Amino acid sequence: MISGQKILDFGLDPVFTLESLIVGPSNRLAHAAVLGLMEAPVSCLMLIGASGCGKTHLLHAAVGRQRRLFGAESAAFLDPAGLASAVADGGEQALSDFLLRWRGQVLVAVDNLERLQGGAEALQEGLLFLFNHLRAAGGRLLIASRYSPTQLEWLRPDLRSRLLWGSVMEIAAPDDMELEAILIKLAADRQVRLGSELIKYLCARLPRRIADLAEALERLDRAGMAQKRPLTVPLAKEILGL
Amino acid sequence: MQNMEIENSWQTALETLRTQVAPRVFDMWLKPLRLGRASGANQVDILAANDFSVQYVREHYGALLTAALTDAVGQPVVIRFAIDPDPPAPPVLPSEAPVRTLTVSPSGVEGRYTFDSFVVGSCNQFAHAAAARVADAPATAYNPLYIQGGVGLGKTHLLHAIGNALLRSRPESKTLYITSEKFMNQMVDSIRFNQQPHFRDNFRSVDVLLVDDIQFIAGKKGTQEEFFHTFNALQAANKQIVITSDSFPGEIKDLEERLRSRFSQGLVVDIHPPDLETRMAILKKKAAQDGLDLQDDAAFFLAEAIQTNVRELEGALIRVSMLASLEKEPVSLSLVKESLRGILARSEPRQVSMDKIIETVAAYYKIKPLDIRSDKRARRYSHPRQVAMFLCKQLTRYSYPDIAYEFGNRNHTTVLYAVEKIASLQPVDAELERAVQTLTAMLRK
Repeated sequence: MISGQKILDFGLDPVFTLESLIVGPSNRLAHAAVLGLMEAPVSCLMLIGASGCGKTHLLHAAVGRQRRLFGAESAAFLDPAGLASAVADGGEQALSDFLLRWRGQVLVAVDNLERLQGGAEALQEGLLFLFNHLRAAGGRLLIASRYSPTQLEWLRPDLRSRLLWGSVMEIAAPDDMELEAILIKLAADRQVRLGSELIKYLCARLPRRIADLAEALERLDRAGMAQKRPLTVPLAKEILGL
Repeated sequence: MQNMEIENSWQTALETLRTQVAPRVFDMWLKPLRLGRASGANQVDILAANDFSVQYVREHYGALLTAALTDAVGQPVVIRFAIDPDPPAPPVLPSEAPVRTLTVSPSGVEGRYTFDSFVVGSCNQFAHAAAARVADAPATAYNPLYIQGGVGLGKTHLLHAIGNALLRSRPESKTLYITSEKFMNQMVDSIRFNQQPHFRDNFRSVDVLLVDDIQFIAGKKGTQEEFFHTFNALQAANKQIVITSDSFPGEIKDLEERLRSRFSQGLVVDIHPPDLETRMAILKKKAAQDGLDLQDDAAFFLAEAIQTNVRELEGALIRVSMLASLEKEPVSLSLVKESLRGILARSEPRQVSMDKIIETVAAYYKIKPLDIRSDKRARRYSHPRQVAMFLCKQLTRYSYPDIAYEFGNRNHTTVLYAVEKIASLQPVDAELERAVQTLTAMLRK
């Protein structure tokens, strides 16, 4: 049963740390809440925000930090697929295995809560038991979702009520200023300097998702290196088809 | 210039700048800057943490900084930007301390849930009285005591309260609190590790067994079987059993009949959702416990906003308290409202979707939504399409490419053009202006 953990517990992206996160007005409170989670008087923290706003980054970062401070067994990262394979058909054995597996964990992060919809009832029950277990043991549950528990109408009332017992932090989509700052930061991470004209150009045209910005920048950077051209608006037009 | 003098001027300049730029800009770029040495009569070094900060600040705020510092010093100043050789340490992560865990005794009873901390109202007075009676004289009056109540109404609190009272008044007797899923869990473990006798002894030797959320054993055959025998053994030995559930015994699906009838043998009491007065009392009590200064208007707002569930009420108060400490602000009505943002979404309109915008604009112009997404060029289609694109940019946070994609995967420059055109036409076209205003009002409703 211990070997199963590898299947469930997805590897963490080493790039996603608390230090590499760009903290701005839209995610300032969520960032602070994640930092203080283990000391907060709650058993659960939910991060609510649209896709691409950095929820997964925060989850990976929190789990990674917990492991650095308290050992590899002190935190786990799950998504609904992992949860599903953990509780399987909801039989007693499966649920018991599931709880046994997380016995030592003090921080369990669950990503993409909204994808539990349509899943077996046992999935929600498993999450509920996980909550009870962590609460009794003094651990913390960190959940990311596109929607708040009140908006997820299919959520079991007992689970919803427990999620609303804890802290719920919204992450807004980044505004223009933040988007620029993020782009500059992403560029700096690649040792690249972007002119202000190019920054404005990219921010107006790229989708407001950090993942998309990073991807576009990578393509641009690679093309620039390959063609030995500086990163300019014409190059961006050509490479990114904007 | 003397060092002291320039340091004072720099602080003055920062204060001026604070009022000139948005708070986030100030915090992100200007506040971290440090004053370097003053070289010569009127040249000052300003240090930023790294290369790109230097570049960004120089390009965007160089002129503003120079002006502010010139004003503060009283004579022209030239700023030279440089990388800080000794940047201030990044904020220390606050929680290197060991994780705080709850102290849970072997009894499983949590100390914080007592009769003293339980707020009694007309919604729960019978359940409270029965629980108090059991705590006073176990296994004499109501056995089993079955407490039924909706989600988050305080069943678990009463169960722990009985446990705490007994641990204090009868420390020699064995009291055990367990959730039904943990019972299941331990049972399955005992089978796996061949420790069934130990498992049975453990549960059958207690004087008081407190079982939370019994409904979770529904449909779990092996667990029901084991619990049935535990129940019988305890009853035969005249030991107290207290059970909670979100349903009455007769309402739990997939529960064996023999358990159902046994759960109903003693006293069944129920807990109802609290009335406004009780909700206010709960908030006040909880706030006092946490040392939180909760004014009446804020408490009233919370109690009105969350009507059916004590746990969610408690959660809301915790969020208020956390927000207050993160924002370093006192608990005010506006902070309470802020903390409920997103939580009350059930009753608030969601952010308007592009679908909804297209649908509404189509209805307004009496065409089909499909026409808006199509590439028909006739003005009776193209004009509403441009209005819809304009509204998508105004009312949502989607980017031009996102909007272009929604409108049939066009080039984003089409959207750019449409947005600019509608924006520039509005002041001169009264009919268009009225249309945009009406549609905006409709969509925001």
